[in-house]
Amino acid sequence: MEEVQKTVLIIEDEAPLRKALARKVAASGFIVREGRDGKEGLEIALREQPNIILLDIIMPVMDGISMLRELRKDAWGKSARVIVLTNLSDDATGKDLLEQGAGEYLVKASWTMEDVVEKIRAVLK
Amino acid sequence: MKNILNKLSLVFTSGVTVNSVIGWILIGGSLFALFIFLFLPSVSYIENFPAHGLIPFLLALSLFWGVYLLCITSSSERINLAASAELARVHASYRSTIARLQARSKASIEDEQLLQELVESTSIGLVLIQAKDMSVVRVNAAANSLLFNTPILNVQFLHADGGAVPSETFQRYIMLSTRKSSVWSDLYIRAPDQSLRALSIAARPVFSGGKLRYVALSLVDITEFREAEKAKSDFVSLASHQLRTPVSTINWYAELLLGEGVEHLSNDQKENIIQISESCRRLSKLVTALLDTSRVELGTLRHDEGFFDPVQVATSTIAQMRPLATRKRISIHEHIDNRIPLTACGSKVGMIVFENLMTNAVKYTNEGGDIWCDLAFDENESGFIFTVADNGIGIPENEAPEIFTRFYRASNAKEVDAIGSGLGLSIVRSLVERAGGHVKFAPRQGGGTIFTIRLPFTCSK
Repeated sequence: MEEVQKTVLIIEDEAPLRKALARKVAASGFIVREGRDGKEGLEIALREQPNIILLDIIMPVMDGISMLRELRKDAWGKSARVIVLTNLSDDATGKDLLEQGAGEYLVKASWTMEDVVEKIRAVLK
Repeated sequence: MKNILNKLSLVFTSGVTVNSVIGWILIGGSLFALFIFLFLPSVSYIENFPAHGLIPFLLALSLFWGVYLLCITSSSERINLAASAELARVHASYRSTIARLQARSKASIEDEQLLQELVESTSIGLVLIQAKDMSVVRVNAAANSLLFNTPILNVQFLHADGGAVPSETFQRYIMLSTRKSSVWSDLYIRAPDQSLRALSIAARPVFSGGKLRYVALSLVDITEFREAEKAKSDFVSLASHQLRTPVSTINWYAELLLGEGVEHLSNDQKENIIQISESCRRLSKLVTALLDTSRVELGTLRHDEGFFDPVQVATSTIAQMRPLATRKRISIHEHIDNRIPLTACGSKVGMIVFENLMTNAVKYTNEGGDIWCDLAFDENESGFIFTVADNGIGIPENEAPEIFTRFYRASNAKEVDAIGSGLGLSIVRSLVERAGGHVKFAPRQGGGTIFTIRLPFTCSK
């Protein structure tokens, strides 16, 4: 029986980064959805219920922290898997997000996309 | 004769006594009677007085008796005069002492009133705690206000991240001051309106007669200072975020090139893209190191937030390094004294410092090498010493003085790790020295390095 493809939602305001990551994740066998800010990402997440969300923090309209807070209010969103993928290395923010149930807190500049895909696989296991 | 004259001279200088009065009466009476007999013949009827022949004799006797009494009196008066002067001096001294004591007592009362006013009017909260049973002896108005009228030992203090400080930890912190001098830490409390207030709390032992009697706590509201610091820290974080974003973009597209179209690239092109990718990684590390340096320099990476448990941090750092060391077949030999208490330096400082030294040791030790980690009390038990030694590549002797300089990398280190920032050891030194400690490097006999950090349990600001 063919394995069902998992869906990954990438919420990232920097288009070049989002596109690069989307290509890599798609090439790794996942269905990819993209959100350009926290608000759009939240709507897609609640509508499509992806298997995992890659979430940036500093974004226009709605930032990643607020998006995650709103997501946790939803019955499905309460247990949705989230990896925070940001270039903001702030201990307090990281701790806050992990307490809100983010599975990982990764600094983009320190990770290759291959590493990110490995993290997605590990979290989805 | 001289003695008699001397005594007579005192007749006119002595004070009035019973003897002297009788003496003067006798002399005066005798002289008066003699005058009457010699110069007033009208009273010659006395010649018919039956005892007429005895009168001159009685007058002479009376005169001599009077002089005698005066002489006796003057003699005794001389002694009494000395005693009296002595008494007068004692009396004067006594009065002066009383006056001085009264003045001092008045000054003391005034001083106490002034001190009381000072204690009550200052914006610094002051609390005096009995050392033997931790009972609160005195609290000033500012302390009551800063603690929202909650007894200090019942206050729920919080760390900067909102985590609760157990009351026994707070009491241990207070008692830590009794080891030597003072300790201080920055803690938070929640105001009735649920906002967080930051307090800098210092504890100092108070000795009396050589015995520890009290612990004096001073509390200062540093909320605004903390907010200003946070604004600086946020700015640095945001700046580093903005710098990292294009670096990540370049890096990820280089990765896509190497992944997706690698078969269409020549070896030179592949090598060029690998160089782009490596440079991006290096730039990314540099941004992180610069971020840490800025935080140290701006004082936003504070060494005083919360408590630092050297045993826990050393143990977890070593555990964190073990997988990497095992991969290189490096043995880590640890010797940790579990009795080492909490220090008032923040845990972030401990983590950065320990991690930097351990990372360097693992990075610059060859496969199959050894690393020795020691955590021990210093010689007078006022702090601890953390030593990391290895038998790795070492540092060339002529380059040793430069290793704590920013961006400096030893020539042999560059060969092992091309993308290091050269900021790690300068950050370590800066943090350790700001906390009142020092870091030392020495070459290890037989090759390798020994780094020693000494930190006091009571970190300075």
